[in-house]
Amino acid sequence: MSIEQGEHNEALCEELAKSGKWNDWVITTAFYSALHFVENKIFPLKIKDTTYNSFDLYYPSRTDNSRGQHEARLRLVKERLNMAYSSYRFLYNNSRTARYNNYKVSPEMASMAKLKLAVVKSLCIKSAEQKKLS
Amino acid sequence: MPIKNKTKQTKTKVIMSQSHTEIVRNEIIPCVKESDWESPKAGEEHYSTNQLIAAYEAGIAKGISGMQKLVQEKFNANIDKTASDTGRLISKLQEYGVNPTSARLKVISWDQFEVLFILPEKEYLDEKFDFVYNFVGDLENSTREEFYSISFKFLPETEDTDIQKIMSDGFTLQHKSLVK
Repeated sequence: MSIEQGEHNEALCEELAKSGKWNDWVITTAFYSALHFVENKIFPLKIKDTTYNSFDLYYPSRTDNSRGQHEARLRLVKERLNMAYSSYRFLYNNSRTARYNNYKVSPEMASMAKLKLAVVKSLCIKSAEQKKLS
Repeated sequence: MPIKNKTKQTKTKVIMSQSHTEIVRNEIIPCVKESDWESPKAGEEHYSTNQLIAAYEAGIAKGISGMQKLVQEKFNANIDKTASDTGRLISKLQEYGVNPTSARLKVISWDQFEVLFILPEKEYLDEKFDFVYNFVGDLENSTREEFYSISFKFLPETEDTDIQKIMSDGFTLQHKSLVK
């Protein structure tokens, strides 16, 4: 997962938001942009003597995966990137529940999704830059 | 096909050979305390396959083995916990000035549960909801046990909110404290 892919999805999110016609997809693209940013920030992840270079390598090592990858990632964000947790969870939650509102998403919700994505990105990019410098 | 999936498929077939409504009505709902969760009314019953599997795993098969009985007892205890954990969250939401109109329980399996809160969009979009999400994450982590986990989701209510779809996804039982 890369910052580039996160920004790629973010650019689509911005384009969709401009027209106001696809607010449901603004939510989805914001979430999938945030997902790339947080994974890039968290990995490589060192646990005891093992270093996991990606979520795909980390996930099978977990003992409790009964709730699936998204929930496992959410817990990882809580543990490793707590500052971004509430914003990331907002995006995840809305991408999961949009169908209960028949995918009708208000402009306010779409704007908030963009804002939450900006928060996640700023926390991840800042960390990525610090990682590069060190 | 992996053995695990095959077993699950066999269980599903057993369930499918019975009346869905009867299984849930006779096996899941009796485990639910009326003071905690409100059951769907006649004609509103929608049960997901997962709920039916959960019903099976809670011990609906004839000739309940000792193990299955233990699972059923654990399921009963877990249902009580869902009511209490949801109640804690309702209180916390109200402390933050968030007033959910409904909290609906979905039984994913005998040890996994999900609750969907429906609430005014304005309250959901308020910046204080960040605190709610942090509290919810802590609550989910602190209550998680080897054979119990609960997760919470939130739905801003709009004129397009589709209760039938929500129920169809398995969120059938309503927390009593929010039923008007």
